[in-house]
Amino acid sequence: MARCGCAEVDAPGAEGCACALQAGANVTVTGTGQGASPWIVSSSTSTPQIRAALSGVNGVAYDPVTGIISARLSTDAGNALVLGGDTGLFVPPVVTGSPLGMIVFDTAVGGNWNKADNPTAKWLRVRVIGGGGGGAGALSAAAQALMRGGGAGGNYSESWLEVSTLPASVAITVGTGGAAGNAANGAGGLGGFSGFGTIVTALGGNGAPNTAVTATSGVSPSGGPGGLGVGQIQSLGQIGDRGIWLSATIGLAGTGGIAGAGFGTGGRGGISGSPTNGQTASGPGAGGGGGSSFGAISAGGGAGAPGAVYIEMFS
Amino acid sequence: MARVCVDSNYFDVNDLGQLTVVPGSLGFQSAVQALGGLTNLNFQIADYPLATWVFVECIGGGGGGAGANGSASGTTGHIGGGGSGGTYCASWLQASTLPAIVIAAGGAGGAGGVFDDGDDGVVSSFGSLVIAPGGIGAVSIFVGSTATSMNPGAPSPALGTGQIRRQGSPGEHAVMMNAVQKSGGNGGASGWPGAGGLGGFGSSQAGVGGQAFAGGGGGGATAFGNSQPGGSGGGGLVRISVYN
Repeated sequence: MARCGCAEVDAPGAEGCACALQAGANVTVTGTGQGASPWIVSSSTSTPQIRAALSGVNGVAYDPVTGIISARLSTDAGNALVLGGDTGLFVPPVVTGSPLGMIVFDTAVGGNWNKADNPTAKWLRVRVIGGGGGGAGALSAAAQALMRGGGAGGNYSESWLEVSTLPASVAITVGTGGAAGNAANGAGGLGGFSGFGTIVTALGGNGAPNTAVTATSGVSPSGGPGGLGVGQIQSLGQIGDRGIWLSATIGLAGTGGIAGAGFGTGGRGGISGSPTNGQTASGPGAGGGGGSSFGAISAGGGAGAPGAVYIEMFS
Repeated sequence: MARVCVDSNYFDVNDLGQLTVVPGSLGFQSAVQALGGLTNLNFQIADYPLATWVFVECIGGGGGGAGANGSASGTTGHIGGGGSGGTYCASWLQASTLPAIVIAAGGAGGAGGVFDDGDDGVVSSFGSLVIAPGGIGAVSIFVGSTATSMNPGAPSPALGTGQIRRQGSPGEHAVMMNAVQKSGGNGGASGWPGAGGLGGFGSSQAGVGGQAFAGGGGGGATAFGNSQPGGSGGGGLVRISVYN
């Protein structure tokens, strides 16, 4: 009896179907369909076909030639993600939001901040302090005194800056300290401008004037701060202390002002006892002290301190 | 389904299968402090395995103000100058460069002079990496008088060690117009700046202490026929801010 709608096998004692199976694409047929040799149909899919059906999407890389699937790391500028030693994704110590240290410019030499030198920096916190003003010098007449005022502190400016908005290179200017007033009644000098380019700037403090005259008592003016610069937060330098004398032998010269936001320490003015030069200010950005003169013995003012620029970097 | 392995300290895969940054895993993490004059802190960077940088700030203890001694007679006045403030020093330090343990020691403020010199404030330090000297105590110059005079405040302490260094301000001078009209010197502000204490005012008054844990100098005293103490310097501080 025929099966499967096929002709009966025309052989004595034989069973089965005379139908023939044909293998199509990716199919293999073995056997004759007889009891002793049944058909075995096997299929397989070609590797090129499988690979052609796959693709990589967001965050996944796929190579159809090798069949390797892997994480795809962005080639965008600033990407810090890498493969770690265990082949997993790893964030090295330069990642978004992490600090990258601080660059300090605190001498009048200045310099440059360059993007290329800091490729992972995304944000900067820039703090700028102007130079301090100088204290005035003093020369009193005999049997008189003259106590000079101190110079003002330099101003302070601060801003957060996104690196993508900055030019490739930014010039750093550190303001010089104002010159000390000479001992022949010289006025104190103006402190220099400090700047991160023109993006964050702070003016220096004014030197103490030399307008007061020798006498048996009196008051000397001091230096005031410069005008506002450029920055998201600004703090003016402190006014220098005035000089004051109560007699030909008792008095005190003015101490220099501290710079904005508490930077620097003003140089001290002299006190009664003997003629004393004003003290040089301590950096950054403080004003120099005033000179104190008694009995025609001169005393110079103190120099202001140079300013500074601090650049904190964050990735 | 293709997958990627991620560092779970920083990344997560959300319900949509998107790779996301774990909130708060980067940037500032925490701050620890050692208060001046109290127990030192053994800072171990291993306690912060993901830290990349630390920002360390030290404020030295303030110097004490000079006391005023009025024991000579009831008709002479005495004035004391102010102590200077402690220096402030700060540095960014890379976590990988730190020793395993660093001692963070906040300096105590200097005691005000009972009727004599103020004591110096104590240095605050983070190992040898950041060092902020303490303020200087004001010297009591005992010249009881009825005449106009001035006594000096203490000078600024040294600059110390750090990327940012801000000396403490000197103590202010004391001024006496006559035996009863007097002003003790105010304490100097610290480099932080923490406020200095007021000097005594008028005939007879003790100096006030400087700002605590901010390194302000103590004020100087005034006295007339008695003794008055100077103000103590404020204790210093060490603060360590940890960033991933």
